[in-house]
Amino acid sequence: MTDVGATSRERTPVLSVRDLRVTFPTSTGPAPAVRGVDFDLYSGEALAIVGESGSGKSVTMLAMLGLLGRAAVTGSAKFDGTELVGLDPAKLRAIRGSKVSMIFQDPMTSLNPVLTVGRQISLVMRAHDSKLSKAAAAARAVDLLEQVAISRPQTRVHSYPHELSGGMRQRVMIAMAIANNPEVLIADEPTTALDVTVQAQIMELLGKLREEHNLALVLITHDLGVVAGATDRVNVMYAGRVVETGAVDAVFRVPVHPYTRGLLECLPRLDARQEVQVSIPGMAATPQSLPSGCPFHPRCRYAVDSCADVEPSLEPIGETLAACSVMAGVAAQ
Amino acid sequence: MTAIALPSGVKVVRRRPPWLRGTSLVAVVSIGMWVIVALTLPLWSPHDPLEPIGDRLLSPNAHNWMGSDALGRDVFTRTLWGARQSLPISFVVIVSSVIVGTVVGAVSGYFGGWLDTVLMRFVDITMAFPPILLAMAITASLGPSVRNAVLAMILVWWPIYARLLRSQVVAVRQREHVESAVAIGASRWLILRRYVLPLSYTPVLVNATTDFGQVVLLTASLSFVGLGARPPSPEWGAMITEGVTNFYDWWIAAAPGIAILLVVFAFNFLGDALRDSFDVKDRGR
Repeated sequence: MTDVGATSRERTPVLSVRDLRVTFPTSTGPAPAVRGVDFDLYSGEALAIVGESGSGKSVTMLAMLGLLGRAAVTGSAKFDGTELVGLDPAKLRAIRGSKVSMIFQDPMTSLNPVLTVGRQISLVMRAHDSKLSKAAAAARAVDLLEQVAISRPQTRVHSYPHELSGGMRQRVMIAMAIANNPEVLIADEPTTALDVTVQAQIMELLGKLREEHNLALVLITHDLGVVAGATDRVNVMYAGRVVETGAVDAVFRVPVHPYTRGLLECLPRLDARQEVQVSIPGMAATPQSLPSGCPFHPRCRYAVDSCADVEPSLEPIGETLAACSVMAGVAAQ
Repeated sequence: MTAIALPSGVKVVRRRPPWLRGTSLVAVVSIGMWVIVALTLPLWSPHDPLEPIGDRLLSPNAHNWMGSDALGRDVFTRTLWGARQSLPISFVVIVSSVIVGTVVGAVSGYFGGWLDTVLMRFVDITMAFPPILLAMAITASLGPSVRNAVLAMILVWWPIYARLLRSQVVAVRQREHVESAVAIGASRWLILRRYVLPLSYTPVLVNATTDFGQVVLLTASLSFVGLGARPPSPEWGAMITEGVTNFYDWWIAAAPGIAILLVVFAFNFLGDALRDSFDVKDRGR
């Protein structure tokens, strides 16, 4: 796969995913949640994964880290040359939270309610470094809280999660995620549960940490507004596949795939009066009921008969890579 | 922290924790007194619990508050000495049952799978029997003695805690903070110890407190039918048995009966208060 818009083509990617497939066993038969995803992530780069609920954006990342109990995962996800798919659980655990860490959507419920935040941050460090003393870990916890811009960190380390606001809790989650100096940080809708004003602060913090630590950031979101400011590249996912990928400004300026266009049109505008909120007609395809051919064709206004027959693959169209046979035909003319 | 000046005349009332208010305060005080009696009794015991003090079957009077029994021993003294048996026995039974139940329940709930199935079916089988009958059967087959009665009661009692803790662990295991602990790379042992158990043990704690009284009762029951402490030991159940043969000298059985009543009541009240104070939804504020 060629990499449009990658910051540097020569370097080896820190994370390299090829043909990742995830299938959940369900009572109605296997449900393919992710159906062959490829992407590369370079250090210092921010990649957004966008899509509706059920498009497989979170599942891709969770599968990579072995966090999906019963699902069948195939394909390849190499982190610094180490194959993560099928890796021994103990080795995978050593990578989770130290080399690759993750921030979850809801900071309200993702922290342990019975431990002070300082203890929780210390636990993350000591879980990966048994030689680290309690005192050293506690000191570093204060330092980390300072890094994530929590005021009075010496006092706050002794706070329990219920004593903190949502934004502060998400900062604590971020402090835990960067505690072991990870190379890749996966943020799964980190701002969804927060106030709009706090969202901006959190995104700013993530951006700052990315620069300071040369982190590779994967931002999973359905909020295109967040994507525009904070990331370099974007993968648009639909029904378990990447349907369009490219540099953020290219995708936003000239979206090629009809689904990407639809998503962008759905953004409410403040500069024009809208009578009706625009939406993409129909229901998102689910793994249990995948349409034939291009999974988006039943909702697509450009669809032609052949769309129901063949599922298109990613091809360079315009300035991005998109999986759409209609647009490929238009571009060829 | 900024100090807020209160208007003059406003008194700051520091409220006692819920388990130190009302009936539970009475319960805590009476349990405390029983414990003190049990610990210090040899220093100030009014009479010897095993030696006759004079006439047989004396009715309660100023000198012998609860009279004397068929062998002329002071019933009040013997009743107090009974606490030195019932309380330690209940303590050992409850603590051992909680430990065994916690380990089994935690392993069963957290790791699941075939181990869970096997352990829980064993729990089902044990709990299918009425506890008194099963404890009696086990003690009888081991031979009647205090030690065997304790062993039998532990065997009968731990499954309750195992099941209780398992149900909590299964629920807590699915919470998001546990998932995020997995994503952090915490080991299963660490997660179980620091992320699951602290949020799961409350019902076990509450039940264990209430059950303390139940075990006092069960101990007395076993002794009553001759399977626990044997005469002349001053054990409440055994003393009631002696009262049966002197049915019309009511004080012989009444004194240990009242003692059992007081202890069971106290622990029930304390258990209720603990449950109320842990149950955030139902806190009467």
